Amino acid sequence: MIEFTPDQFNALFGEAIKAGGETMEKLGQATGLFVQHKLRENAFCRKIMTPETVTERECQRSLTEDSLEYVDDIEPDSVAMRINWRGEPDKTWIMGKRYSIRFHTISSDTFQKTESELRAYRMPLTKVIEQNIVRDIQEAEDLSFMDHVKAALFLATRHQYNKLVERGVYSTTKNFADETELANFLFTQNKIYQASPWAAAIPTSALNRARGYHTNVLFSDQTEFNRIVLREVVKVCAARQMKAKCFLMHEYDYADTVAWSVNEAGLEVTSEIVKDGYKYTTIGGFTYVTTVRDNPKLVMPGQIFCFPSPQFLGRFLILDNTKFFIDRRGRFISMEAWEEIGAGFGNILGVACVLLKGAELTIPVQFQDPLDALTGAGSLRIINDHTRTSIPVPV
Amino acid sequence: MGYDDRKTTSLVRLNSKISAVNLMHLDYSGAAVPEGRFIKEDAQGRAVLAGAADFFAYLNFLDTVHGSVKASTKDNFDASAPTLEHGTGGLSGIVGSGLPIGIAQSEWDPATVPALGDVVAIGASARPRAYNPPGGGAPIPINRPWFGTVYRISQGIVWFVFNSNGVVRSA
Repeated sequence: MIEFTPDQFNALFGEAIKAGGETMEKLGQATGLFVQHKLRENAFCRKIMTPETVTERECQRSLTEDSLEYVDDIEPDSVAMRINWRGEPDKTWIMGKRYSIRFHTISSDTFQKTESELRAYRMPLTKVIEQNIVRDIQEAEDLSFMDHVKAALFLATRHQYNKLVERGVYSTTKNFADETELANFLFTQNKIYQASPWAAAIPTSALNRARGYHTNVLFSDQTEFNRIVLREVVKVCAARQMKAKCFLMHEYDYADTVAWSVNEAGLEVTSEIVKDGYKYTTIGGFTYVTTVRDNPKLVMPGQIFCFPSPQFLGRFLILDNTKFFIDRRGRFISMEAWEEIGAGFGNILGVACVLLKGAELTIPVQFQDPLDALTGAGSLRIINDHTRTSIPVPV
Repeated sequence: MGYDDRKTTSLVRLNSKISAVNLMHLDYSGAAVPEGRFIKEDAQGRAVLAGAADFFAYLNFLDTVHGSVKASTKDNFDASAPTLEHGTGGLSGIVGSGLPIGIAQSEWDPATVPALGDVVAIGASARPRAYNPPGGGAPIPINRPWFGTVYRISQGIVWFVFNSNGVVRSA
């Protein structure tokens, strides 16, 4: 990778603007690599699902539009059986399952400036690019990732609920027909606890929160991040026949580690925390990713997401790595960066989220009646305020 | 006169270079928006179909079924599970400022057959709808905004000069 110091970069930038042509192309390439490097450092989705580069030849052309898709396999389930020495096993004709990942472009705005105004910059121009172009692209990447994650939370909860109904754990019908049924289930494990529309608060005596075995959206009774919270959420993966790998939270909640005492961290680590803070890359054997960004569509304080290993989750594909374009017309300089990426979850069942007490989460929902007919869609705001049993509001 | 669907052009025809077209990025709202329909922004800046009384409208350049517009999350282990859709690239609204646009006649509101010189307003399902100009035989209703004028009809394509800012006929 070509590395530049800020001074070198500013000099190259000035030279390129004056000379144009090949120097401008060189600058574009160098900046493209810089943007890629910063994205690897900053976008949290890239730490949860490691990006893989794919080429056009590995993709399929879409039949209906001018675009490419990547078709990935899902490993089939099968069962072994015990047979006696004269017996023979059942015959199964195998059929593969696949899912497709569609690509889209993420582009920054086209930033415009005159050469004269650019002279007023004493700070490294790499910072300007980082604060505008890199930040915009990483925000869009993470937003797209979190859209999938939040959709997965609803679908995975529905899946597990239906599985438990079929297994006879719950003696009710399949699916959630509306927001009241979903909220009833999350708060009481009884989706018909009260009739729709949600009218009365649930008394504390009736609370029986769905746990990791039952749902992928959990309500914790803890107000701060600690290992009890972590235990609750990583159990979701264990209950879905996979192993949790990493969790994602806001830096706001990670700050709780500063106040971890002997009870949470033991004598040795606590004494380290007092001096240097928590400095390990794992908690309870699980890696963690934090973000400091204040965007309610990404991760809000009080939300802790948990993900299994990428092989149980899906793929993050890069068809075209970040490219940077800079152009000068007369006095005016314009620059922009873009990339072609696609992300897909082959298996949504292990994605989980625990809400600390008082926190809230908005997830997209698509309700169905017991016969799978669609009965309403939108988003549902769920608040873990269960001691006062607040009412979830569809938004 | 028929729309020749063997052609490999998009449904919305632009008689200008793409670099000369002002395209506005609009988020996908989850609602289907076909190509060539008039759209507007809702309170969250997402693309929704425009109504006949709206004074400002974009023209939708890309159908919402495209993969670059939306992505889906599915439960791959349960065929009966619904699909949840969310925006990726969003939609591109064409901002009209005297821009020539051609749309196949089959896509127009069938209530009236477009004729040269007609004004273009927002019809049923946000399709373009032709009315006679003010002073014409059956003129556009009073206070109904219109967004352009039909200047060419050939090979089943109705061309009009599109302006995003609506003009109304005063009483």
